[in-house]
Amino acid sequence: MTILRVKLLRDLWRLRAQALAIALVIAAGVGMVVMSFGMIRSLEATREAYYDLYRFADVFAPLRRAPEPLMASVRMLPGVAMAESRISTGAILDVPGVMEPVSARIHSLPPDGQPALNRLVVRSGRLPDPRRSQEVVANEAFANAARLRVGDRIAATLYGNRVELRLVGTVLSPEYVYTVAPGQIFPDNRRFGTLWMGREPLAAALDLTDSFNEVTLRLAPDADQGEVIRRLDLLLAPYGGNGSFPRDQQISDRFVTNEISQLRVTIELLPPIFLAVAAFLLNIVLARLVDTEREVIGLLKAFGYRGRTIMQHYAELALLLSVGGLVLGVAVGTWLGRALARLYQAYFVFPFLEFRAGADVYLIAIAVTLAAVIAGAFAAVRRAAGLNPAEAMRPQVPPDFSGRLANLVTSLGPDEPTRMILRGLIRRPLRTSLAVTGIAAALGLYIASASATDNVERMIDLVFGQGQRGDLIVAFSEPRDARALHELQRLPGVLRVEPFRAAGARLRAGPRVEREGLSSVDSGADLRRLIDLEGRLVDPPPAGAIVSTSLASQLGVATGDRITAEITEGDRPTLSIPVARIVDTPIGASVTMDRRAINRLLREGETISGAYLSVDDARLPRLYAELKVTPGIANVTIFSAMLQSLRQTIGENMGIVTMFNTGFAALIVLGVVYNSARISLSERARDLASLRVLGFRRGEVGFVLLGELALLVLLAIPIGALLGIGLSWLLTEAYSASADSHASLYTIPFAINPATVAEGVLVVSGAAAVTALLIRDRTDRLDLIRALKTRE
Amino acid sequence: MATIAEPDGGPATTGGGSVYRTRGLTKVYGSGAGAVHALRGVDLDAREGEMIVLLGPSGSGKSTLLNILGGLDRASGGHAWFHDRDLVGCDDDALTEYRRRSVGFVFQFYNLIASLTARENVSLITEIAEKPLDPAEALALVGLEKRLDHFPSQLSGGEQQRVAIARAIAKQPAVLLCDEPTGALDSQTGRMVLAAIDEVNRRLGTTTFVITHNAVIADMADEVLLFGDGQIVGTRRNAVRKAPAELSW
Ligand SMILES: Nc1ncnc2c1ncn2[C@@H]1O[C@H](COP(=O)(O)OP(=O)(O)O)[C@@H](O)[C@H]1O
Ligand SMILES: [Mg+2]
Repeated sequence: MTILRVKLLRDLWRLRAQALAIALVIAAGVGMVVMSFGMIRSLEATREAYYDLYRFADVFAPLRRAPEPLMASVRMLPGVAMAESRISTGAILDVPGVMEPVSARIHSLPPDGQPALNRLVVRSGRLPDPRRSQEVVANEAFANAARLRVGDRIAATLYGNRVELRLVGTVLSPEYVYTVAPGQIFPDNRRFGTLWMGREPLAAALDLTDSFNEVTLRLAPDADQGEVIRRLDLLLAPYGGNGSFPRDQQISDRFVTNEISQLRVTIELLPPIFLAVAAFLLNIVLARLVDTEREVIGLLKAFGYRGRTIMQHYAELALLLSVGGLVLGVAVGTWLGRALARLYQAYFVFPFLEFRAGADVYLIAIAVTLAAVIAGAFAAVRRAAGLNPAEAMRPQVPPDFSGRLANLVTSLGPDEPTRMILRGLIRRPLRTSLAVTGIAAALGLYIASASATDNVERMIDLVFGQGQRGDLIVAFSEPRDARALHELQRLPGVLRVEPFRAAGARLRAGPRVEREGLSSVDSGADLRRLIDLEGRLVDPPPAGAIVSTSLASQLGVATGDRITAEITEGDRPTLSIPVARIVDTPIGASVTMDRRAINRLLREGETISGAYLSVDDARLPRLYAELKVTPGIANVTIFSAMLQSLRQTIGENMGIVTMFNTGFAALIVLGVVYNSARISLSERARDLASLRVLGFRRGEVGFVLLGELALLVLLAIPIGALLGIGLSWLLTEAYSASADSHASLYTIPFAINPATVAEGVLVVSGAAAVTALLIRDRTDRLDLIRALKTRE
Repeated sequence: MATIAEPDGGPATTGGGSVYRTRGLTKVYGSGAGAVHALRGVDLDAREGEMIVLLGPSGSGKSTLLNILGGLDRASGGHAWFHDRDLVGCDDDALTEYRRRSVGFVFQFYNLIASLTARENVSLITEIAEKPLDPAEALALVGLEKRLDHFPSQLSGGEQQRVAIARAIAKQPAVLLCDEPTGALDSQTGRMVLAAIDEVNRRLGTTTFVITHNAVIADMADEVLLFGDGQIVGTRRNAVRKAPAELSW
């Protein structure tokens, strides 16, 4: 081993504490990238594999009623690879142990159990025996949340008939990766479930024997989806069908796609910034570290070491300092990525996980880090080598303390140590600003990461706190006359009812089609109001629709344009609706109109689809009991329950992601602050030891060093806070851009909480305090003789 | 014999046994009003194997001259031949190779690498040399055979400087350049260090330059160049070299 290598190893040992701090910064940058991309790719790969393996349908076509033989014609359509009929319906369940009425979607199963499309993953028990009319299976999340076990009995109200069902198994379905009640966007697994049962009994209950009311199909590989849908609609039109829609408008897939693309936005923005910041900081740290080797570089040059050899020596040092962090980052990143992917797997209810780490991500992360580190080292070596060796070996020329700024310091500083600090910072404006930038960047990352939950909290507040202020929504199976309102009003515990009109529709503008409902608001309403992203109340215009920005951009319409709405209920009229306003709404894609305006468009009297209720909590049990047996109710949505499950989801998923992100950011903060201080210490060891020799006390000497650190942190805090707020804003902008590009179901507003900024400031101050303690110990142990004797 | 030579001289002829020969060597730091003329035309000839002391007040340009002779710095004008090679025209790589092959330095502040032991500090240089001494042998030459594995922090100032001398001579350089080697040492330790330099010069025949502002030290030289204000203001040849042990200050 050459002596330079010996030096290398000894230097590494000497720098071990700094090496650890550097490793943490690298691990944070690399780990974040590896984790995030590993997770997102795994989710995407898993979704693909799941859909493929369990034959998730490409097209769904609900209709009113068609005879089974029609399926032969469906299968004949060009581009159709596989088609299957089924019966699907909504129902209200009375589940033992669940006080509230449970809404359910029920699908029929073919005689041999497994459907050809949308195949089920049996998680417990078995599929229903087609000969036993009572047997059903339920989606696993619902069974778990409602504490249903195989063998349990459930009462269902199906088209006004009470039916007894028995649970024989729990399943997963590619169709219900994300399970939400119709018209809702947040899941409540305890109060909404999906059931599958034999076709015969379901047909009997719905009077659909030898008929079906839904077609699912898979396309041939080269099929033209739009064309298939058009022909299918033509074929099914006489049977009450005109609402065929492709997979990407299917609610579960939309959600999964939505959530994954939101995650992708975060991941394409934040982790690369993490990596860039880490790389930038490492670059500075390495440059400063090598700067402290200036005299050694001069010496090596004086004795005829070639520039290349010296470069190589410091490149090796930089590499060795980084390698631990790289290994740690890759290992921890992979591990956390897998853990996070598992978490999301459970959240989305994928039956398996297809883990994809991505060699390219590893390579990029490692290359970026190494490039930054080596470039930092090289810059410093070049600086030192650019001096003539005699100069490099000389102790640094006493810096020029003259100048206007320095004079200002003289008048400002209350005492000599304070003036030393101020001069030290002013003397090297570049170094000072880099150190401040570094700390500020780390703080900014922290704040931006932590603000994610703030923004979601704000969205929840907009949607539930301000937009939907009732306690429940009751949706009727069929639209009814407004007099039905009185029935609801008379239910026990109901304090206030506000009717709404909603209708499923296929919206067209030019060539673009979206499947969205029309929904109503009443001006002056109290329970259901339209709130924009800034929290302002939007009153419905007397005619025309308020369209959400994301839907408008999806349809390509502006104020004054018209949207064609093919209503998918009743007489299925086709309406032309003017766009009166375009509004940024927290809940993404919607067309909202005045209730009576909808009535007029549909040429109906005062007809309603259901109502928002505010209720007396004390009388809830009685109300729920009544609702369970009231005929004509399609589903009941309970806000408090939904909110609770939403909060839990956020706590479980977003909370954990945020925790990882902020953890990584905190590591970067700590690593940077510590390294800045350590390098300052080695740069100033002689000065500080001289002070000690001159009779300054430990505390006074510590003050000079730590005062500098404190000042850097103080300068960095406001900048970092602004960076963090800006980055958080950028994130929400990116979210809404991505939301607009695929008609997302909700939009996350920008709403950073001052407490989050304060938290970031606390973390940085904490890191500085920890560093101060660690460094303080070193200033206390300054070896006076050695510091004066050798020139390290 | 080193003398103020005639103005227009070519490269030193090998026959004269001359190592260095400079003509009109100048060095200016900075420019304009703030320019410092550190060397104002230095002409010298240095004979092979001799011990030469550069004596002069602080700031007179001694270090500047030594740095140029050692290839650490470049002159602003004139010539500085090492044998028949003009250092003034050399590029960075050529100077590096020159230092690597031919020059040993000893600095006032030792400049040892703190993370390497005495032996390793010497090995650092012998590793890149063509016909080096064994590091232990070099350290023995300066009386440090018992301190081979000590780190600089475990050595006294005088010992550190002797390690620096061992390091400088271990590659058997053609010239040994010492810039105030005793400047940071007390007189007794200083004498030991000078004795080591003297020993090396006598035993290995290395042409040696020693910079000092201490007139007493000049007595150990073959040749004394008196420096003042960027010029050689006088020379002196000692009929007998005093042994360093006989010096006192
Ligand atoms: N890098 C430099 N920049 C500017 N002036 C310098 C530099 N190095 C030396 N000098 C000046 O050159 C003159 C000669 O310096 P030096 O050769 O170090 O003198 P000596 O070694 O005799 O004390 C001094 O006036 C010194 O201030
Ligand atoms: Mg000098």
